[in-house]
Amino acid sequence: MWSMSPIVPVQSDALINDQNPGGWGYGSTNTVNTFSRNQVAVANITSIESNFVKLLGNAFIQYKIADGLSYKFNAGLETSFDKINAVRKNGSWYQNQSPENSQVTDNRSQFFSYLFEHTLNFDYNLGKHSINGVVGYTQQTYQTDFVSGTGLFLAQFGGNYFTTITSTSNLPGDRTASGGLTKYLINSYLGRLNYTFDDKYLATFTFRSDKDSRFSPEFRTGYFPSGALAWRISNEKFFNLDWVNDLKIRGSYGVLGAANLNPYQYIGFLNQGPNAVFGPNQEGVAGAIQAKLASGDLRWEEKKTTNLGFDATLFNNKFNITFDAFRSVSEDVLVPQPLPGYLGNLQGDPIVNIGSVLNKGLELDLGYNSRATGNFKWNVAANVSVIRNEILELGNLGIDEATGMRRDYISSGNTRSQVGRSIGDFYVLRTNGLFQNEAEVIAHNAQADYAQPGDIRYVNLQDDGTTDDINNNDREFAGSPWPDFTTGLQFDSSYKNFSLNVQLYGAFGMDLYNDVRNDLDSYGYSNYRRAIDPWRPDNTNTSDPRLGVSYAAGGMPADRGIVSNARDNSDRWLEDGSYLRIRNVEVGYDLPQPWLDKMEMNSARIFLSGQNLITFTGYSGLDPDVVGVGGENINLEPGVDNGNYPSSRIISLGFSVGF
Amino acid sequence: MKKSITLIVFSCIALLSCERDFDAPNPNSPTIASFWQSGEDAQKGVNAVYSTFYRTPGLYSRWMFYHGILKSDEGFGSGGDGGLNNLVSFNQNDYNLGLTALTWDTFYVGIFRANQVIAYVPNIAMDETKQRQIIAEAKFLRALFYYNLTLYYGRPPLMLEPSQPLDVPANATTEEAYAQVIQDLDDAPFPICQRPIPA
Repeated sequence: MWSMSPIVPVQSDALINDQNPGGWGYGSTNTVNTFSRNQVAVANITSIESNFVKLLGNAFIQYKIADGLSYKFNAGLETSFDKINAVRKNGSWYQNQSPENSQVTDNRSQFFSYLFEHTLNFDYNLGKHSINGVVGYTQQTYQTDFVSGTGLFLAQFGGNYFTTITSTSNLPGDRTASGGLTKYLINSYLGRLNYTFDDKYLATFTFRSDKDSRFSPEFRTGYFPSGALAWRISNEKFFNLDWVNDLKIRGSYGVLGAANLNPYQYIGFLNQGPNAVFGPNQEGVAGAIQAKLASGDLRWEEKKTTNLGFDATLFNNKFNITFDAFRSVSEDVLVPQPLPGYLGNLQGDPIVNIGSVLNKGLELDLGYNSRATGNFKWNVAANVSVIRNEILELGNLGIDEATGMRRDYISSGNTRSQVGRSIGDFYVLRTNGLFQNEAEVIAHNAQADYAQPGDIRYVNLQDDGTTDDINNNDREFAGSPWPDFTTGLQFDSSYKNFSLNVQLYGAFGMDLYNDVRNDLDSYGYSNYRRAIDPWRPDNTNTSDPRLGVSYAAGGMPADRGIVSNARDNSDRWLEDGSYLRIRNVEVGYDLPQPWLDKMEMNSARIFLSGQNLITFTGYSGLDPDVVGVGGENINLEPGVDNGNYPSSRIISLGFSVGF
Repeated sequence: MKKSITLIVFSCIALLSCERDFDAPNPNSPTIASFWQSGEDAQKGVNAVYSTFYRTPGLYSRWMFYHGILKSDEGFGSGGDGGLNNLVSFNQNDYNLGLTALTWDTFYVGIFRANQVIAYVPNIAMDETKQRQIIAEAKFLRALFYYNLTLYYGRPPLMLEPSQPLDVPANATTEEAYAQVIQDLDDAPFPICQRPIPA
C-alpha cells in the first residue's frame, strides 16, 4: 500500500537535480517527508518488455492388433522461447531511495519438453462381464536453459537513452552475464482396469509407477495405486422402489504422487566463494565447502485419499443427489524448511520431505430438472461443501524459546500455522474497545505508561504486572481464514428461443485480515481515509482511536499511545469475510430456424452476460475473495487481503454462429 | 503384415533412441560428490573454515570483541545502541538480536565446515603429514568455536558430524561442551596444540 501526500506535485521543474533528472515529486526533509512511491515516476524510469512464444505439437499412430486390442504411440512436444528486456533509467521514485545506476538487463530462456507414450488398450465383453483397460509406458523430459546479461550506465545523447547492452559502459565490471541449464526426466509405467458385471457391480483399479530424476537415487521410483468399487443397487432384483430411478453407492482409495521441486537438490553443491587470507603479505587463498544443507533422501510427496459417496436419481429422473465424504492425508510434503542456526545452513532453505496435512470434507450436490415439454424449461442445481484442514506435522523447527519445547508452528506475518490447527490461522493481540477516560487507563494498568483516553485497549493475556506489558506474549489465535462452508447455485432456463442462466457462489464463516484498512486506519500516512471518525472527548461513541502525532520534536518524549494504536498485529484488522456473489447472469436468444435456413447456418445465438455483478458482504475491503499475499508465503497467509486487484465486473455481448 | 513390422520397428526406435541418464550431474555447479578427492580439496576445505572468521561481523572482524572485551573489565561501551548496551550489561532480552543471533549462527557455520573437513579428509589419499595437519587445524578451529560458544552462551548443542536438515541435537551441559573442546585439542593428530610455550 502506498499513498502519496496530496500536497506533493507529481512532477515539477523546481525538483530537477542530479539525483532526480526527471523532477519527480516524492517529498523531502524540507517540505514533507513521505514513504510512498511516485508511480508516474516508476512508469517513466523503468520499463520491462516481455515476449513469450509457445509452440505445442502432438502426433500419434494407432494400430488395431485384434478385435478389442489396439496399440497407440503418442508423441508430444512443447517448447517456449521467452525474452525479457528490462531498462532502468536515471532517477528516483521515492524519498531516500539509494541511487542506482542506469542499466539494461536482457534475459533469454528456452523451455523444452517432450513426451513419448506407448499404450495398449483392450476391451472385452463376455455375457454380463465387461472388462476394459489400458497399460502403458511413458517417457517425459523437461529442460530449461537461460542466459542473462546486464550492462550498467546507459549511453545518453540528446536526451535519448540507448538501451542495448552494447551501448552500455564496457569498463571492467560494468557488464555481467549468467546462464544455466536444468533438466529432469520421468519414466512411468501405468495401467488401468475397469470391470463391470451386469451393470450392477463396478470396479476400477489403476496403477502407476513413476521414476523421477529430481529425487534421490534410492527413492526415485514412486508407486501409486488406486481402487474404486461401486454398486448400482437400483439394478438389483430385490430393489423395487419406483420413485428411485437410479442409485449407486461407491467407495475409493488411492495414492497420488506430487513432485513440486527443482532438480539437483538431493546432493549438496560446492560453494567456491569462501576464501581466506593468510600470512604477512595477506595473500588470498581459495576455499571451497558445502554451504547449503541438502536432504539426501528426497522422495515423492504422497496424497492418500479415501472417498465414500452415492449418486441417486429420483422421481422420474427429475431429482438427482450426489453425496461425497472424503478424507485425504498428504504425507512427506515437500517444503523448503527454515532451519535452526545450529545446523550452520547458508544460502536458503533446503527442500525436505516434511510436514503432513489432513483434509476432510463433505460435499452435497442437489439438482432438479423440470423435464418440461412445453415452451418453458428449467433446471436448478445447488451444492454445499464443508472442508476442514489440519496440520499433522511440520518438521524440524528447533526449540520454541517461549516454552523450551520443540517448536510446532510456523509464523508468517500475523498468522501461525500450528500442528493441530488449520494452515494460516490468525495469531494476534485481542482488542477491547477504547479507553474513555484516565481512570480506565489506570484500572487496565498494562498500558499505563503511555495510553491516553481515546487509545486502543489491548487484552493483556500474559500479565506480568507492569505498566508497559502489551507485547507478543499476549497474542492468541483469533480466527481462521477457511470458510465454515461454501455453496453454489446454478439456474438454467429457457422460454421458446430465449434463455436465462444464473450462477451464484457463496463462502461463509471465514475471517480475513484487511491489510489495506490496517494501512489506512493506522493513521501512518500523511493523508487519511474520508470516513474515519476519530475519538475525541466530545465524540466518544466510535471505534476509531484518537488522532495525534507520535513524533516529538525538541527532546520531548514521543507519544507512544499513537504508536501503540497503529499495531498491525491485533484483531482490529480482522473481519468476517462471508459473501454471496452473483457470479454470472446470461440472457441469450437463439435465432429462429427459418432465418438460419435462409442464411445457411446451423446455429446462431446472441447473448448478453454479466460476471461478478453483485456481491453481498459485510466485508469492508475491495473483494472478499482474496488470494492471500504473494510470493513464498502465499500458502501460509491465505486470509490476508493486501489489496490484490478485485474480481472484475465484466459485461459482454456476444454472437456465436455455427455453419 | 509389412505395416505392422514397420510399426514395431518405429516404436522400438522411439523407446530406445534416447539415452536417459537419471544420474546426470548438475551442470551449473560442482557437487560434493566430486569433491574431497585430493590434497588440494582438503586444503580448500580447511581454508573455508578459516574464512568463517570474517564472513559476517559476528566473529573476529568485529563483534567477538563486544562479547569479550566490552563485557569484561577491560573495556567499556556506551552510546545509543540499546541492543549493544543490553548485551554488555548481560541484559539478554531478545535472542534474535543480531549481536546475539548472528554470532551464534556464524560459529555454527564454522562448525559445519570444520565437521566436513574432519569427516571427509581422512578418506582422501594424499600426503600423510599434510593430511594430519589439516585435520588437526579443523579440530583446533572446532574447539575454538565451541570454546567461544560455551563461554558466551553456556549450553551449545554439540554438532560433531556434517549437519543434516533434520538433526535435532540436545543442548549439551557446560561441562560436556568444555570436555568436547579439550577432547578436540587432545585428539588433534598433529602436535600444533602441544608446542612448548616460549619462555
